[in-house]
Amino acid sequence: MKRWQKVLSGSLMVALAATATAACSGSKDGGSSGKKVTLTLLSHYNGTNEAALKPYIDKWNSENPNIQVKMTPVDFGELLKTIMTKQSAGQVADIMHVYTLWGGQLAKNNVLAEAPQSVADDVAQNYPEAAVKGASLNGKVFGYPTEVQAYGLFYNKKLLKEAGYDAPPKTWDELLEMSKKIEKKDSSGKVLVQGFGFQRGYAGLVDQPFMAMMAAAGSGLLSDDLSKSNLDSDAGRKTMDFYSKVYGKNGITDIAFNTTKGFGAGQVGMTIGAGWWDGSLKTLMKDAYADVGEAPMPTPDGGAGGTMAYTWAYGVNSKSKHQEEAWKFLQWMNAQADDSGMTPEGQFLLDTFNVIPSRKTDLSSAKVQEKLQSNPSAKLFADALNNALDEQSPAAGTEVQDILYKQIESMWTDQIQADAALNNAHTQINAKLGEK
Amino acid sequence: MRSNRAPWYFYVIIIVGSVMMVFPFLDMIFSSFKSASEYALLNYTLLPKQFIFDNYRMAVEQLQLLLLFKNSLIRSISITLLVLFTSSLAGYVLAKLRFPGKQVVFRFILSTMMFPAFLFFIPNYFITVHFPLVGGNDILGQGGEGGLAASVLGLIVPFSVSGFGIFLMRQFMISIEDAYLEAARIDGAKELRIFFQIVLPMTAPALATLAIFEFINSWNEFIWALLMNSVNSELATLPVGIQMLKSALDPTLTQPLVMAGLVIATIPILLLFIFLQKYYVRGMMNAGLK
Amino acid sequence: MRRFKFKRETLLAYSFLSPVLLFYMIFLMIPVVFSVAISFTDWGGFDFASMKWVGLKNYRAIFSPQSSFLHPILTNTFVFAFGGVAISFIAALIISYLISRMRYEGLWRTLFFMPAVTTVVAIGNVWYYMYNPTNGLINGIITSLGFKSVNFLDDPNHALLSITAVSGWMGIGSAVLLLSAGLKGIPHDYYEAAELEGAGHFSQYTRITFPLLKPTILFVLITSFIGGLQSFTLTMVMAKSGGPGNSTNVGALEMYNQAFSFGNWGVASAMAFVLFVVIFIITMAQLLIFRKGGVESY
Repeated sequence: MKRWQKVLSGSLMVALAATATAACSGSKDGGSSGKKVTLTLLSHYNGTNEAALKPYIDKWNSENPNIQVKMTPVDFGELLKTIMTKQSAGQVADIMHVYTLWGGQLAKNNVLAEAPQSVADDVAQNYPEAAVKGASLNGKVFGYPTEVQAYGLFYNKKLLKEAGYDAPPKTWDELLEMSKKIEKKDSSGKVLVQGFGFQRGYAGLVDQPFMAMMAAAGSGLLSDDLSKSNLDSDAGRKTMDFYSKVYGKNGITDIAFNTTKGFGAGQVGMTIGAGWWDGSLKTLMKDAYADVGEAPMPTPDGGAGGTMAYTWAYGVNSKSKHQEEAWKFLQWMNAQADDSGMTPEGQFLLDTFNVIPSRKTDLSSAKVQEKLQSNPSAKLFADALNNALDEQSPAAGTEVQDILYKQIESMWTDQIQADAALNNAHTQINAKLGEK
Repeated sequence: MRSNRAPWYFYVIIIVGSVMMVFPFLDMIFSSFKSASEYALLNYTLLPKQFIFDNYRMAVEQLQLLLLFKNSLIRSISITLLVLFTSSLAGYVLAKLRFPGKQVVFRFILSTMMFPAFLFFIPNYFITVHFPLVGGNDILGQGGEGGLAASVLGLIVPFSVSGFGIFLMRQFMISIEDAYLEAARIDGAKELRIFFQIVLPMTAPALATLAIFEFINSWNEFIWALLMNSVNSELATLPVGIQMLKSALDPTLTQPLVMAGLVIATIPILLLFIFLQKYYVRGMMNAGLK
Repeated sequence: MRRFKFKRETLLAYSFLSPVLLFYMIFLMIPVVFSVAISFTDWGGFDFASMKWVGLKNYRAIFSPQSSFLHPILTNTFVFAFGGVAISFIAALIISYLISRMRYEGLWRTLFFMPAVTTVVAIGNVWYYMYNPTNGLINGIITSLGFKSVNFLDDPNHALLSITAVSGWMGIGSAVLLLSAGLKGIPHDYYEAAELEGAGHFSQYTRITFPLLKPTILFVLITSFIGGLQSFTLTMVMAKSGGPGNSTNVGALEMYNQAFSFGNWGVASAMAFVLFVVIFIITMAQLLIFRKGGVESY
């Protein structure tokens, strides 16, 4: 600490201490009293997802009276802020379910503990490469990958058929052409049926399909060493060009139309989405769900191409006083199969999101094999993981995504041209990456 | 009466205006009875096709309503009482006592109202979570589990003084006749007794106004409560809890649910205001007249 | 004897004031100093050891031509504050005058005041859905009248104004309340005299009401303008981080996101200060207008 820092912090705290009148102590968990430990688990599983996860936690709690786990659900949009503020305030959550894009920022502030050797080995052996990468920081595993989700094309079979198509598009040009045919507007120009639209609402929802399309065109958003943006590559230019053709002046459809909502109402031909969306469409659409079809990401030329997969992972807080107990719980949750041959996490993922767990031992279980046979959607997204790039997570990950998001939105709303959006995003991301 | 003189078009304008005021509230209430799939339909209707109570059931299940109401109530009541106390004490001093530095203090308190709240957002957050000797913190404010934010104090303490409140009470107390106070002083009453037994009862109307104002504001305050909630999820208040019902990942599933939550959160305070508006309006008007 | 009493009163005054002064010490004076200090550093809000002195770098970043802080963010802030005041003030001027001459004045006032006692979370969400271009109420009306639906929140040409309109709508009630108070202060004889001279409503208003209401009007205008410059909850609820692009982003919201989403506390504090200086200058300028406009006691 430098001298002025000491003076500043010291005088600040002394001033506070001198003026502190109310010395009442808040509620403090007696962690070390007796043997019983309560672990807090911070995750973005709220609402119905929280309810689905609860039985597993309850089961652990009844089997392990000395290590109780307490869930703290936070909406996705607030989770990073919550992790950061909790950490700086000392309200440490022992176990955290983190989105790996935040990895760099969390590593910079030393939030996550390194995994014990046994866990690291288990993860390295049992998960696909994109997932292992996602659950690692600076090459070291920090926890168990959970949701590993790839992006693909969602389409409405009925609308495609009405426009005379039996199969989803393979190339980007086909996609645009088909969507023009599917699109229906009334006399006032209001969209009745959208041919193709991107979902919107927050940075990730716009950026992740962008990265998935860039991956389909053969490149990650950033260079492998995370030092610069690849937006000026051929793949980056093609993707931005495609994006500029969807909304805005030159767009095939109207940005006012809510694609997320419209798809659920059977009024959207095609969009890009991640595997988990299938589960929530099923809940929302009921019988109409039969019209939903899914396909791999189209590529610029129709050849083989990749997609992007993002990862969530359970990690343990480096400031937790009960790290040993926390790992014990995580091992049970993620690595210990029950009679059915599946881990609790695997069952949760399968039942809640209709998603094939990425852990190899779960994959070989009878229930998952049966699902792969019977459910094309689950198989499609599980296969997609094999040629998926991971979502890169530099220390300024959220800021990088925010830059790209704002430039795309500005382009879609005709504030700037596609070239300018690409150049702005490229230079601003490079500046951000160079700074840290 | 004057009121008879209003021509018909006055009524037309005001009724149209009132409809514009009330309509969003009606929309909120009716939407809360729509099913998620009806909500996803692409044409607006005010009335739901079917009134469905599921959203309320789900909101009650998913919200920890008891905790939210408890926090909101404890917070609003505590802030109200603290502000009434601090404002009337300071207001009395500034209105009725003579002492060196009075003008400086008064100017200072007036100027605090001009400081924008966001200026203090970051430092006050830091001070709140590193408050010494609270919530497990040591004398230097380190090592604890959130300082003031470890308990409901984090929602209350940073709001316990209001520059506006002091100003309001001072303005009101200036009009109290000095003669009353002098008489009491001659009787030998102690200053604290004068304050509690003579001054406070006379300022009851102003106190009522301030109480309603503070209660409603602290009930509705969102940004600070949101921040405290991210430090410590036990501190969620009603507005925060309902905002959390919204799912950033899949908004289509939760919109009517959010509406149900909003109805639960806003209706009590609207009713409270409607019952008490007489006291509130009268006090605010008097304050405005000065 | 006299001197003793004087001292006792001083002691008493300051002991009564002590809770308030203590509070301002902790939650106002220290924070201001602290804030200035961290605006010259690079800091993520964790321990003091990770704080790096960077001099004017944060300020330079804010004022750099690439930065979006001055434009569009600060311009948006002004449009938002000014627009909100304009809407609520003009509406309130008309409404307060009309209801002061109508039956059920209290009922009308309560209706107009309802948004002011409702949490911004509710208002923001409800209006967000009402603005929806495909199945929102407002576009439902617009399209049923045969017009093309408007993209209120997604079109950068409309988004800021749409949110500003809601802010104006919310502010009507408070302005009506204050203006009603001002109207009550105007002696009734003035109107009767004017009426005897045959003056209509409009000329009564311009000749009597408006001039006598001037101090109240200035008070309402200035306090709500300053309030508008600071507010960001509505924008946060309706447009999250101020999109599309930066088209609805306002100063205080950008500051909040820099600090709590990105962990750039230094940049955030510097922004807070720039914004504060701007507001301070405006406040001072307006105080001058106040004095000239005959509101001396403020």
